Amino acid sequence: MEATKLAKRKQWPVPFSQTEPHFTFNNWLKFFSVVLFAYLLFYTRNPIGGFFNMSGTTFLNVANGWTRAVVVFGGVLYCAIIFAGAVWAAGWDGLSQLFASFRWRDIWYVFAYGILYLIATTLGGILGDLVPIRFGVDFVNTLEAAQFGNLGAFSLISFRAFFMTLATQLTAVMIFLASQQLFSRLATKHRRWALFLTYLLALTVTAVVTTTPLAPHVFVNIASGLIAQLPLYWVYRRSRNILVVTLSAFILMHVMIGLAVMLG
Amino acid sequence: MILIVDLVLIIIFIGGFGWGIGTVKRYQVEPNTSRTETNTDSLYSESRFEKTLQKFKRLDLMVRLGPVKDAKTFNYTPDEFNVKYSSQPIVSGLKATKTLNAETGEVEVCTTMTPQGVTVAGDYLLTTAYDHDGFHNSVMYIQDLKTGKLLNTVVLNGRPHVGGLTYDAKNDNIWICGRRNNAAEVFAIKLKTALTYNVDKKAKAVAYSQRAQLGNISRASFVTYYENALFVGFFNPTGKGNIQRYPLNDKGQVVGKSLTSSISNQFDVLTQSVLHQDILSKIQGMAFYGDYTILSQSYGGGNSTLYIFKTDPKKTIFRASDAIDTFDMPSHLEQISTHDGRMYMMFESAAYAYRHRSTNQLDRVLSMNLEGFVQLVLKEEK
Repeated sequence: MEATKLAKRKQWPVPFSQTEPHFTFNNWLKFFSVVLFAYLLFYTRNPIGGFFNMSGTTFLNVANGWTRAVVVFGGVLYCAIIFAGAVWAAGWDGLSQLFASFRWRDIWYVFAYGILYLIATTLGGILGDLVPIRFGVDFVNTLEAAQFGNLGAFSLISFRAFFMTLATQLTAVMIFLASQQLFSRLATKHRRWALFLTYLLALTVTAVVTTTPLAPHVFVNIASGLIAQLPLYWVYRRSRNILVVTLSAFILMHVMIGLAVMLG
Repeated sequence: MILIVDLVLIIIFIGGFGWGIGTVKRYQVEPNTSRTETNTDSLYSESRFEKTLQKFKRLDLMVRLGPVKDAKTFNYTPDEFNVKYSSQPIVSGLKATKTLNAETGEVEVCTTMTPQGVTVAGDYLLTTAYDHDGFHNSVMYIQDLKTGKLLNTVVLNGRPHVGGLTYDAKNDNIWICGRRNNAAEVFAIKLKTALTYNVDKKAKAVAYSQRAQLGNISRASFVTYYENALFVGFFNPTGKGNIQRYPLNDKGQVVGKSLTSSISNQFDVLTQSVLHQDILSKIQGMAFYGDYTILSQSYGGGNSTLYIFKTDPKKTIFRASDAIDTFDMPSHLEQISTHDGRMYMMFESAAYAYRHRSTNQLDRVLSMNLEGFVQLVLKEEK
């Protein structure tokens, strides 16, 4: 029984293409439309986005219960919208397929692939730096900068960041699954090419989708994302659990940020 | 249906609000360079410069008009238009400027200098520029007026906007607009000091001979020397602007505060009336020529404008419509100044920060025949 489960996990992640529920174009459209809505809500200069993307300076200077709630709820809301999109497209059963039952070895995956992710992010950053850019971004007033202010701010903003990362990785995995479905149909006789193209398309589209005002250079994101996101797709194929993917991307990275905050 | 909703969402959010986060600001990234000295070569070819200038017919004529014996009677014959395009001096330092890093104090080359001021001091053409990215000290370039050859790059203290400079020949002082302790100031450098300054020797900014804080002006935009006084202009995009007169004593020092003499009142009203027009807002420079006062105005990437007013001491209320004439100019016109019958004009459109979005990039200091200009204005009025 265990051997059968293991064999299944080593196979391609097949939700929405080879196993139920089968996704049609319309299903994919539903999910990615909701992703688009969440993106537009949080990354355009609308009043609601402005409310949740509070200035880091304001957060540090007026750190009361209300501002803390707004910061955390912003992340939760973003995540909830993306999850709602997944449920709308796939139903609860479909969503549950993205969160395989937890195993002890997943803890190992979180740290092993977490280290790989750190290395890949560094390498991706080097590659991204090779892309010429004409403008830079000033983060001084952002929440991302405020997390370096003190440990309290770091803890709270990390809480928000966890939900943002979870939502981002759900989106990234869905892009991966959509790419897999596409190329498994288009290149049925060329499995290696299908595999290569699946990764290439998924990594590229994920880099484009994760281009935000905080990381505004799409070609830099593609150059760095082609490497950085790769271990996270590997860990998904191993674990079939988006929570494991999220923890791989989150834990070690935030431990390092926390250390930086503590060391000043 | 879903696609239509997506489209509507994109139109509302991107079109209506715009992509971005309010707390994230963009800034230009300084391009790399292998140069180690201030550049003196042009960014654009001479033919491109000619084409740009020829888009502004009247300006083109006045730039090419050479000295005339009697401007009132001459007939604008072709041989009078004998000033070559190549004689217009190239703006120094647009590709690379040797200056100091404002934080570390090290000698560095800056590639984002934005030219602002222009004036003539004897045989020298002086121009100023500031680092648009704000990492480097502002500078003043000294060029040979006749040949355009760059003679020195003088590093100034800090990163002031250096919107204008002027020359007091009587006291050998170059006056430049600056800012210190959140208040406007003008500071002076002896021309001799500027000529002998060498940033490589001490890696320090040039020594000032005077500094005068202008308590009643928060930001000085331009400065002009006229009849033993400095006329300092203030511009605020959302409020009123004014020009104030600061007399100089026999030693060339600023004395007292702004005088409320008739002339200062007059210019005060004059600029306010121009600034109060909704479509006219930013006065960048001021120049005197005979009985005429010329103001330069520029805001954003649209065409700039010159306003020509006849100086009338009895007149106390001026309106934009009181201008004798207006003159269309290329975009990003900054300071104007007069010397020996010609008006010199600086444009910032070729600076790295603006060259990619400007429609008419000018990487030369333009000079035009002022007498011909005034006569042209008067003829058109008739």
